[in-house]
Amino acid sequence: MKANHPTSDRNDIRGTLGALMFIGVGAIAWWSMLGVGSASAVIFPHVVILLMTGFSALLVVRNLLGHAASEARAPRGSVPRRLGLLAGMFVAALAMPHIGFVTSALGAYLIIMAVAMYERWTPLRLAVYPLSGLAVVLLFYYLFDIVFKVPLPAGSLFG
Amino acid sequence: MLGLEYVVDAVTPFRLMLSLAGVVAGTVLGAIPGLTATMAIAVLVPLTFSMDPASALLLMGAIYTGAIYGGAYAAILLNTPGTPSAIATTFDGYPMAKRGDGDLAVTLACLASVVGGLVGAAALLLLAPPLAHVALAFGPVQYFWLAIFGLTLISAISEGQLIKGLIGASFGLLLSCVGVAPISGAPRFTFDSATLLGGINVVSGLIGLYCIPVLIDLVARPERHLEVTGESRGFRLREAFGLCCTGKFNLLRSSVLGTLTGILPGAGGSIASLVSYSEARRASRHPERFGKGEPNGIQATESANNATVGGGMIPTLVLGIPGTPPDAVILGALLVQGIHTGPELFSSAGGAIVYTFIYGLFIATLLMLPIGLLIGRYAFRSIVGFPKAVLVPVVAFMTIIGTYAIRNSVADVVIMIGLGIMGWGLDRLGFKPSPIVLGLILGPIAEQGFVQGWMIGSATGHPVVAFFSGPLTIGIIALTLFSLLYPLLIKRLRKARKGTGDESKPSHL
Repeated sequence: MKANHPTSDRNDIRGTLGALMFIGVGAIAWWSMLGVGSASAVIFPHVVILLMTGFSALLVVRNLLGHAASEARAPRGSVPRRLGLLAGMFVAALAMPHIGFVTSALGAYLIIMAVAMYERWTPLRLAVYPLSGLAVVLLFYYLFDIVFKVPLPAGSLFG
Repeated sequence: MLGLEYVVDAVTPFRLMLSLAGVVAGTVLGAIPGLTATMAIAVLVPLTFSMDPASALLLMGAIYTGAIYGGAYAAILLNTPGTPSAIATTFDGYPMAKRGDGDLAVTLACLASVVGGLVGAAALLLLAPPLAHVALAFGPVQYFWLAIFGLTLISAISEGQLIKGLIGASFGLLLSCVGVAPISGAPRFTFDSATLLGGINVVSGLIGLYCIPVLIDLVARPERHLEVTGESRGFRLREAFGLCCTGKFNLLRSSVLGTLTGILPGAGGSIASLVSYSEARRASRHPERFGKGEPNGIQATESANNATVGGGMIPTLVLGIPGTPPDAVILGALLVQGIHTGPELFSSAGGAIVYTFIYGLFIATLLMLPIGLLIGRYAFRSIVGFPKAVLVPVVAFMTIIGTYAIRNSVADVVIMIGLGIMGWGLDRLGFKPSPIVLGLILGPIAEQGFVQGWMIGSATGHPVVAFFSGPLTIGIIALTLFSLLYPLLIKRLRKARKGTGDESKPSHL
């Protein structure tokens, strides 16, 4: 039961960590601008970096002084399923130029479908769910490639 | 003067059919994350080449109207703006859907879109030539301050977490700087990667930051995606109509703001909806309810973004300057047709085209009511009724193909997923995605205005003064400060009144 409640973070340690991360991002961004010669290209990002690091420093100081107001939530639910979803999406994106749009999209659809399955697999579901994927992928392929003329990858392996 | 004789031309069976088809196609395309109103019009433009100019314009207007409204479905039901102009609809639409009022939210969005669309079309009919000249009064400095005004919305969407909102917005502004600088063309934050030269596309960012975190959480738990209270009704017209009646001033104000923002070239539906949302919250007696499923929030954003359709057509038709990105496509299609825009288009010579189009726009907007309600009903039922094992892969697939289609780029898809993971992680640290997206959207307008204003100011020897001079500039700055400080002022006033009330109580007793 306890796991269903947001984890208490009264000192906003997560927010402090985030702020420190943003200060780090600001430092890297400032460093990467050192090589840019044009003043008009530099002025706006510099102002933004100063604002971001300034606000981040303010948040760290506020939290250290004990005035934290946190709404941060600890993640709930299955980590393997989360990773499975992201893996499926990355695989689809990266495999697309090699095995083509339809094959990669269908593969990713099946992976994500398996990852998101909480019901019991019945013969009907086993037949209908993958078929729904095939229908969706082919419908969108027709819509984008044929109707809208978006050049979807055909796949270098098949080309 | 009003070209009433052209009403008959707008309601011929062929043109009614065009309006109907345009609204349906636009609504469906707008509902798909990644397919913007601009894309929806652009892909269907070739169909108009064989038509007469009035019919072509009418079809494009109907698609545009439908697409802007269609963006609300995904915003409400999936927390993913179907089009960028629906970004602010997610703020209250998704919380409403989560608590079981998704059908009410979709119906409200439809009614508000119709009201906004009608106000925009009325402005186009009655005030086009004088209002078009308002757009010309806006220079780089005013655009810069307009973007800053849009950023003040952070105070509205970061309740109790203002510093985190400001950090998020700064980070969004920084993300908008990735790629080639707008004025000088120098590459920034690309780390020698050719992929990053093109920058982070706003729509990819929207999809990644809003949709991927929802999917990540959706897949991790067995619960249903959306709650359904009692019997799923599909739409709650009477209730939504009642809410629109009580919020009529909000609807009207947001529609007028949307029309005026639409007139400003480049501003578009996203800024219109953000500004209107901010104003609706500021004017509300219960600003604390915004962001938690407040119906007035949806009314404000949806009426404003649909009002930009008519508003954006004003500078497009009178000055030849597109008010919004889809207007640029429409302008191009008109040039192909041999139509030259200008004030004379409203005179007797061009009246047949422009007035037939305007009355057609009224009809298309009215048609959106039954069509929108019908499509909304099925969209809601589908999202609620779909098993998770089908809903998650379908949405994931739509985010991939929608992002890919923007620039035919696999790199954009990878960036989108990466931004989604980052958004999910930052949310766990207490940094919400909305301020980041605000920065990403407003960054290019703010930067261009800032750098151009600075250069113009430097040429006169007073770069700083240039940002604080002129009645229009002062007016926007005052509005910005008012918008930022108003919640604090009201809080103080209420506290003071409460204090006075408490003190005076004993004396009455």
